[in-house]
Amino acid sequence: MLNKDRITIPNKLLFEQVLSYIKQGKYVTIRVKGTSMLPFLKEGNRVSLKSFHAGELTKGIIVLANVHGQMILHRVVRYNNTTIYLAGDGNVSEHEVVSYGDVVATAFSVYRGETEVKLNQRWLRYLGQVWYWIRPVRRVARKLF
Amino acid sequence: MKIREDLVLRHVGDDHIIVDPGQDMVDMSKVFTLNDSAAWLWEQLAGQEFTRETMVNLLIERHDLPYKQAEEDINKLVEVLEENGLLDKLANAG
Repeated sequence: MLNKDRITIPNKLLFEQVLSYIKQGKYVTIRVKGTSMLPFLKEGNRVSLKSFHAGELTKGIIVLANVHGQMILHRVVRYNNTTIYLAGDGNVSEHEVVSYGDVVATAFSVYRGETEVKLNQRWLRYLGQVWYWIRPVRRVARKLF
Repeated sequence: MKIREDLVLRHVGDDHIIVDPGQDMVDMSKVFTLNDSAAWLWEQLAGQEFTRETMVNLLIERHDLPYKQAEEDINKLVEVLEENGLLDKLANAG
């Protein structure tokens, strides 16, 4: 009657719950789905999120954003006064363009098994950006290997 | 026994999930799912002291099951509730 197996709750429904907790100022931990943030976030890793404040915006942070009705956890690669550009670490060409209001939460920790890695460390943000800058190389590499 | 009062049963689409909202930390990566019967039972029992007997009777009332089968189901459910720390440890009656 009670099931501890991992279930996949439809994205939209899960995020309604996540959003309501984030709005209450709580930290929310979710499980990563998909491969778009490889190699930094792997499927099955757990990520802790907290409410997003524009004042904390800086390149290299990972945020949860509403992209045309879909919730996506990607890295901030560029921004200006009105627009934030996101990219999945695992993607080699796509970007998501969102406004400030679309960004819901910031990821502050990732759990790989029991190990917690704090995501707000400067070197990790830099590493994420470098990984983004070498996209052209990764595009070529992907074709070669 | 008693169900932990800090747990929240939520209906998400066709699923019933139990969330442990914690003080300021909500772990949605470790949610429990209940089937329809268990969710219904949970709602009947939330907030009060109850015994296995109460649970068995509720289940029979709802599903018209033979006593033995209802008892087996409830024993399994209680075991899982206990194992996963979903029961209030301070309340021990029953």
